[in-house]
Amino acid sequence: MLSVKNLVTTFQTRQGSIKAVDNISFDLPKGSTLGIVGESGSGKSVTALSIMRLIPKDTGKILQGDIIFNGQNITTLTESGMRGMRGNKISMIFQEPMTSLNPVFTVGNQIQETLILHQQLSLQQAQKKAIELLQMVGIPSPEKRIKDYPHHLSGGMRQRVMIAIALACKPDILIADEPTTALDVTIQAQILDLLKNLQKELAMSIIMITHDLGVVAEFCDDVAVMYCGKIIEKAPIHQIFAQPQHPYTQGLIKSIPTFHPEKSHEQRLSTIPGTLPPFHEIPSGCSFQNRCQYAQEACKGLQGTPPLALAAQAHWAACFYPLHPKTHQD
Amino acid sequence: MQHPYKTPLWKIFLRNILTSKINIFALSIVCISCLIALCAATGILANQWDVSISDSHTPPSLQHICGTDILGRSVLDKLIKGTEVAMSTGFFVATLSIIIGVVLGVLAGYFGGIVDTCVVWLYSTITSIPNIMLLLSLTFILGKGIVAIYISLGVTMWVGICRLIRGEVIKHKNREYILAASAIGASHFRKLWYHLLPNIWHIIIIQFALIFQVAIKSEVMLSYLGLGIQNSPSWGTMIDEAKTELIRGIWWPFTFATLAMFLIVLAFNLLSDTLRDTLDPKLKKK
Repeated sequence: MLSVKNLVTTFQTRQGSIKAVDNISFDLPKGSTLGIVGESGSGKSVTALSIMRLIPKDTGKILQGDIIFNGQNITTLTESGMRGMRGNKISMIFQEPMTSLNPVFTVGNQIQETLILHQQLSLQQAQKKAIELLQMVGIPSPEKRIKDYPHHLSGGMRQRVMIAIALACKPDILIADEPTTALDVTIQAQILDLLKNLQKELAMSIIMITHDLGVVAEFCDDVAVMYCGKIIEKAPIHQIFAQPQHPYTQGLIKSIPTFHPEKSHEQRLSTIPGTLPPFHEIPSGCSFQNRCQYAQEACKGLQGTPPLALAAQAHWAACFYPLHPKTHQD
Repeated sequence: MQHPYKTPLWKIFLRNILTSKINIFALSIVCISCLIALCAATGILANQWDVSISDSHTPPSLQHICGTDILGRSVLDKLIKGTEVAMSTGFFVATLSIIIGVVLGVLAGYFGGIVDTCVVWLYSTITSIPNIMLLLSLTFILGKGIVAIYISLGVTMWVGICRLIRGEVIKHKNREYILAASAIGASHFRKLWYHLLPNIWHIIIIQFALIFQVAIKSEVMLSYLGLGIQNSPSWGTMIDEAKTELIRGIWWPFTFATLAMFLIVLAFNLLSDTLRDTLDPKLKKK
């Protein structure tokens, strides 16, 4: 369906060129969900924008790599070819539903726009379809709501409208860039349920970008953990939670608050020490070495950057000393 | 149930106008001036302004409400003819400068880079020349006449709105709804015309009303300097003639021309205030 190979996206900064996405590869089979997790600035959103080819042209560019979608290489597509793809075959929803809708148009208007743009529907047809779409994303009395302006709606409702816009043309791939971050917890659950149901209904693949491991656990089939622009671990969902291979992933999982009433007052929540290094100060060797409690001499650059290697079955990790190596045992 | 936010904007504008007496006054001044200008342009009113109807310099009386000028022509008719000049100047200059300013501002703000550099260079250059010098040289080049005034004022007054629009476009183009528009496959033109421009319309409308009255004032100033129109009366030339008349106690041409200008400029200022209150919700204090 979609396969990303050795993607490198760079940005020009005053300190020189930085690799915001550094040589990442993954596959997204039809109907599956890939979670991309990582801290702020780890390159998750840039990955998404690279697939959409929406990297700001003045500073950033896709330096190398292929993005193959249904046998077609997106990186070499013309701009107008890409426009026909966006919103039609590949859609995206954004983190901020409060600002992602144009404040001066009704929501009906904005849903219709996609339909008119890609499916050449007449205004009446588009209007009818817009009502159906709002119904589909669970907005009550849609025939009234299509005349509402974005500021009439709550955050959850707006995110539903964004989903309706993204799904208007029944895309093959939906990229959800932190779709629930700006929402209340109860609304988060509703939106995730909605996405899950729609995924089944429309048989689409989803790339879920998030920093919330809870969302990943609930929603995804596979997970890719990103750190400093690289994928450092990639595995099916149950394996990554049961046996994380990379110390960073382990740290992330450990820092999820757990509920043990009898112990909670004596146990502090574990954290990963330090912060993400700035892109121009990434150390040679393993980029996580300065924050890693298991770091050894080999991590400091003498053996180069640890490659993403098979650490257990279907479980890839970019670490010289994976925590639960299976391949050595059998 | 009527949704409180669903009142159309023009209704809110009308309500804002009708709830205050001073705004009713301003709107009626503008409407009456437009009407007078149209009637004068079509020849219904003041078509015989250049005919001598009485003695030279007759003071205002019941017969000649505003008196007569040196050639015995009716000052009232000259005022009416001057309204035509003023209103058409305001309209054409505002339209021209809005078009130039908005097009350049939008292009510079949206595309950035070399386009932006060129536009910023252009308006910095124009603002660095004293405005009056620029106007004078332009009217010298273009010759005297009403069209020359339209053009010379139009090509000098777009700078402010261009800068304003450029800033506003830069602000809006990084908003997420523009990114979201890219994500549904919208082209540059579509993003600009359908998504971005409606968000800055209010600024354009308010600026139109403001430039309108500045243009009227500038036309008077140019005519006063002898660079205005020649074969038709304008408020500026009437004020210019008053230089020699006032000392002889002939106050009426000067007074009525100034009064007319005062009224129209005041009315437009009040109206643009109300427009801003209606269209720019961020400034709403009520």
